[in-house]
Amino acid sequence: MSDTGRLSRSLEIFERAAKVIPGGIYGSKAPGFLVPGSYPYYIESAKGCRMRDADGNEYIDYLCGYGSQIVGYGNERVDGPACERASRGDLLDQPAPVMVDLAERLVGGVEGASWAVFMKNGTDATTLAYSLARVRTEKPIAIMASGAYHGAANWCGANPFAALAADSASVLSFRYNDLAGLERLFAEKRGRIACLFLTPYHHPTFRPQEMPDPALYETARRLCDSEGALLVMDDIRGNFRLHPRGSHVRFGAKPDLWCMGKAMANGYPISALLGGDGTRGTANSFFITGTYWMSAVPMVAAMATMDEMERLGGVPRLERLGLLLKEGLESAGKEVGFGARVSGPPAIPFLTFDEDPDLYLNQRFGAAMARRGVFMHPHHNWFISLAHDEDDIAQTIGRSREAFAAMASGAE
Amino acid sequence: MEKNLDRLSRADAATLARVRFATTVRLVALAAEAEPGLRAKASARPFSLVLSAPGLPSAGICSRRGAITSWAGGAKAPAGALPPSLVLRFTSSRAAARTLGGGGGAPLPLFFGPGAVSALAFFRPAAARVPAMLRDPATEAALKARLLGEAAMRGLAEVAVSDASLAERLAHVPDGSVAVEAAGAFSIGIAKSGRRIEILDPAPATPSARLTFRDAAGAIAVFTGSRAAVVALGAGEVAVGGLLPLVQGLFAVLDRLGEYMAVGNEGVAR
Repeated sequence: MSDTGRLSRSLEIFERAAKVIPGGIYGSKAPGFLVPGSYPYYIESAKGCRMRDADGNEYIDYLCGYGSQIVGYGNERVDGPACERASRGDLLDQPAPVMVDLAERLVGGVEGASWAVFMKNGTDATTLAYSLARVRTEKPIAIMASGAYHGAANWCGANPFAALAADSASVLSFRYNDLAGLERLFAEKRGRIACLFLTPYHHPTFRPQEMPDPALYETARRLCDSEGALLVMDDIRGNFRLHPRGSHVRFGAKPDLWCMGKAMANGYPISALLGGDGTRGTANSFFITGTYWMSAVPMVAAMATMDEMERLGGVPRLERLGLLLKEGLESAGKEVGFGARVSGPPAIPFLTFDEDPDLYLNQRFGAAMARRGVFMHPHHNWFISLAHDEDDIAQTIGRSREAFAAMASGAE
Repeated sequence: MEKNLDRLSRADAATLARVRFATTVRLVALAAEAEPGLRAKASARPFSLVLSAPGLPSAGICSRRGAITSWAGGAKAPAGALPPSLVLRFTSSRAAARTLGGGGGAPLPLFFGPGAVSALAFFRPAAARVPAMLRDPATEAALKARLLGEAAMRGLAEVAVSDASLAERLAHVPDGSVAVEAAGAFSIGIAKSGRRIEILDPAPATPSARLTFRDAAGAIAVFTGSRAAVVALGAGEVAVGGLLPLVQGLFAVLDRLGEYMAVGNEGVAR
């Protein structure tokens, strides 16, 4: 069911966009990834955990800028220092001293890391990790879990066109948590594997999330050691929502490289690649650069974000809020007969319906919630931020009860 | 992809010929359903007509007891279909693609039974009538949408299995069924399994995904390429529900089909 009246300005802007922008909106923000006609296409403003679309409709937001917001939109304790830094210059001829402050802070905070370099997007970090791994090991193959997202680059299969197949020919995949399958892949490709990419837990789109098998990381480390391959932790989505010292600590993993981004600077554009001592030499000799990679404002924002996360209660608070949401949604669904199940860690939840692997119910639920002023993505995991509070969660659960009831009666 | 049929690779020419076999027999059957004059020609005498070319799976059409059925892609003729009365034998895939694309040339007619003359008397005007119906502004939008939708789904099935460049892409697309519908115009089902796409008639009641055009005009705009599918989606002219990765994957196959349909006959891209 579309709701074009409520979203008329979004649709109007989209029609203009379609004339000058491929697809109108491209990539993960494309209307087709949501439920077209039920979700807004354009957001005008946001504050805390609430945002307002181009038509003036307000939403409690559970996408958080695809995870980049962790202490809330428009947080003065982050934006204040960032604006102050901007007034003194952002992108300079040489890095600002804050780059060293940030590197020291990350290296001191992220368990196992001894160096850090900065870039803009998660894809920059994962692509650099893959390059460093190949150079360090002088081997070509990367292994990843099927369905895992490691960025929008051709090497990790974001665009499976025949003409680009050569770019990803050295990237092989195994079924997440299939330890025997992973062992087999390492045995089959012995002597040719540069690295194993893992996200802290499995967060594929369109599917329930999956926590790691208790033996996954021990197995991964052993296989990488025996092969001389690097274990790369793609922590871009989990970034500081699972553990303040890096998501690997939560699961007892011991990576060689860490990709970080998203929540690192509360939406300011920065990502990072961190490494241990074993990869420092390769990083020293590798040409790493990008026009905007050393801009100072996001680095100041990253420092301020880490302070603010701590001040607002950090991971324990995110977990508590996430658990409240999970319990509330599951119970609201059950009340009217839906097998609604929230998967993943509490701070990065995703709801699916046991009875509907094709996600029709996800789409109906997401659309019903959007109409009730709650932005919950139907196909991509959600994020809790430290700007959410118990009242926001209670309001969300209340509205979900209405949405589930409407779905049960077919009247949404 | 090369836009000139003469310069098309042998493999691509074979795919294009498969597409034209499949769409021709289906659309000719639909045209006969829609137009009394053609229906009368088809009913003059029972027949079964087969299109054939070296190395290609054949396609066919059968008229018997007022019912007109078609098949393609190497599928067996439906139960009750007559043995071939007439085989139109093309010398090559390229010749088949050229002739069925309106570029001239003629297949060799092989007569096998008493229905052969009726088959020929029906097929020639019916095959010529289909593009005219699609061009004619007087053709009802619902019929036009149905013809285009059926052509797209038949073409999709042939391209998916025949075009090697789609193998990698299709490997990433989940298996399942899709109902493609336009209110008041058509409802077509397809089932994807590996690289194979099968037409389901009728469309499944509980498909893995649904692609629903708001109306016939919306379907025509997308199937003729005058409106990009992703834009039509955003504008609410078409809705997708269910297993989205399946539909998104099929969009890529439709894009490839669009490239085949843009191949021209005589050195000039259409």
